[in-house]
Amino acid sequence: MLRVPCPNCGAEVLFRSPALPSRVCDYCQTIVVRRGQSVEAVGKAAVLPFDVSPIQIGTRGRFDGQGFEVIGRVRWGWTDGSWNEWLLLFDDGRDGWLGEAMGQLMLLKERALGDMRSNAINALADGKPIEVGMEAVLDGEMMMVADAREATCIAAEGELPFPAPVGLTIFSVDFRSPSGACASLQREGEMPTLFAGRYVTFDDIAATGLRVIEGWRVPAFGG
Amino acid sequence: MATAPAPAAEEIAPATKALSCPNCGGTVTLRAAGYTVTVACQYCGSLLDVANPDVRLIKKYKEAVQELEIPLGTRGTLRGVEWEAIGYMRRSEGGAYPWEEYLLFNPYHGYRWLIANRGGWSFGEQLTRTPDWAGHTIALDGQNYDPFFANGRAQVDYVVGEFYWRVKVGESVATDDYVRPGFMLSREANNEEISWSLSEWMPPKEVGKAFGISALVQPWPPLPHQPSPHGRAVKTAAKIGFGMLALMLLAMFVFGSSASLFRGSLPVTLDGTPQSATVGPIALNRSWQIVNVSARSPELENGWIDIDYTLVNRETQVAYQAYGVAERYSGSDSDGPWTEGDRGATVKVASVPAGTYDLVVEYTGNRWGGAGYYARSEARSIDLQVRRGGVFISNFILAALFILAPLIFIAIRHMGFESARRGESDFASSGSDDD
Amino acid sequence: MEMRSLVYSLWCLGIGGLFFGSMMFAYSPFADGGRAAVRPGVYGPTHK
Repeated sequence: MLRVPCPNCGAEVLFRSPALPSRVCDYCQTIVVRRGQSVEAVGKAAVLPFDVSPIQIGTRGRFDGQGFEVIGRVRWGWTDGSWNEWLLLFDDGRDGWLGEAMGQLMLLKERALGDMRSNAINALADGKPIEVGMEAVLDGEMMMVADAREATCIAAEGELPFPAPVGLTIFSVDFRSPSGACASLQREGEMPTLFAGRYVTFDDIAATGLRVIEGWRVPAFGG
Repeated sequence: MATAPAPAAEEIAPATKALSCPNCGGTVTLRAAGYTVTVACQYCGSLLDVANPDVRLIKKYKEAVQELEIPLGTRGTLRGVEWEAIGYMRRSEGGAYPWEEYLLFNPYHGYRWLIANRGGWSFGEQLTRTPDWAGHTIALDGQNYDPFFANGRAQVDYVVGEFYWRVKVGESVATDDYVRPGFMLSREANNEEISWSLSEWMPPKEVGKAFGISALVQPWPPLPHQPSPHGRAVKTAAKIGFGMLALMLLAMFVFGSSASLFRGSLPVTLDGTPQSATVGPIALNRSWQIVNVSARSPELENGWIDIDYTLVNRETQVAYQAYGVAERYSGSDSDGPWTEGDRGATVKVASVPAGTYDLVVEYTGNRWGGAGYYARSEARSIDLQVRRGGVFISNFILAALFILAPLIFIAIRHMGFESARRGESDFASSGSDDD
Repeated sequence: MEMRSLVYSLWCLGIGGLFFGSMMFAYSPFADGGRAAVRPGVYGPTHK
């Protein structure tokens, strides 16, 4: 746990885990990177556009028997919309992502690329087009491409495993399965990264600490 | 679902975002800001792109915005969750068979669809899982769905309000629909994506109460996934009806035994003279019983015997009367030899109270002259048997008719409903089995 | 149980009741014979 003043505006900035060396200052949107015990400013993140997402930094939940806290967010935009990816810090120190798009939540953890067998991986590496319906096998389960799109990071906040990649363009491929398991392949440079998990609801993850939105009653999830 | 504790006032995020329509300047309220990609201005109908911070005008419309049955912004509670109608569109099959879809939103529950089709309503949800294929049918969560519509094409004819994708009038998707009673599983595909949605048929009253709609009509023919209002009733009624029939049959077997009270023989001649015999005492023990008298003349040929019975109670002298005839005729014609009559008759006297009785048998044997000169007519004796008990099968048949009649009526209505419903399918055939 | 099923149950109970009643009293509308007017004369032994 490291608390330091923001090198730009002096407001207190918190780093929770050595594995997450970057964060966006909540007050001036400066991207601050931690190097050992010192920090440095490496640019500015865009101000997040207004949205009615109920998830916020500090939201807590449980997944596969482990508790987690939402500590960061990256907002991606594509030609026909945008979505949030929330960084989760689990109680055991590992991290994961909660993708939030069109009211649907994908809880994903990074996996080794070799865990998935699919023509889509080769196509992605070769720069060939990915077709909707392409198949993949992961953990013995059959999955299909549900969509494939190019996206640009438009804003970020909180703590992140990398400096806020505002302006970075990636290619993202989402997979779906009959059981609700899902996966996401994201390629920015040479090699794609694989994330896998499943679709969840706020009830499934017993979400607490959700943002209160005026005029809407916040349900108590998880029973 | 319980409610979380209320937060401090400064932590409450606004629910809406206002922006100005670049075409008409009207204030457009975004209710799903951050998710909404397209907004159709509620004043001028212009399609606006709000995916990026600067609002772009996609298409200008001059036409007036249509009055909606559920005005956008209306909130309604369905199945315990509050929803706000934020978008509306009208779609059709190439302009024909139009239907309407309302996009419902709750920030904590996501999106749902309220689909209005020919006056019927369904509540739908985009799925995050894909169905399994099982031959001709598909399965989701262990339930099978039969194909109903195939190779459809749904095009957007009109939009107003917010949507989470860039919806354009004229855009179309390939559609396939599968149903099971009460539910429809739909597949929509274009070049960029395939999506599945599950919609549940909603009783009109439930939707009407939630969103304040009145004047609800019952569509005919029924919606593809509309459950038959008679289906459940038929099953329950069949259990009740056949259950009662089984009980009655059981009672007949248990209590329907009969006992012989008298067996004897009476002499008879076919000369037309009345004869009489009295049989008794006959003791009837049960409070009430059927008295079954059968008479048979085994040698009877070409004649008939009129038999009048009178059963008289020795104490009260109350009499019970019945009439039977034993007949037998035979001959030969162009088709060959024929016979008629089985030489005997059985009469059943009902509701005979307990007591000691005498049975008076008055009978007259007659020759049948039509037999011809050479035909032989004869009779020698009548075997008489008096039995107590037995059952009236005719009673059971009458009761069964009354019990089955409403059942058959409801079954016919159910089959009519299902037939009309199935008739709308792309797969309508005559050989389908009932559920 | 919905209204229609309840009404049908009552209907079946009614028919069943009539049926069991007819069995108790050995009654049938289809019987061949029934009570008649008292015939003149006395039948059976008359000695006391």
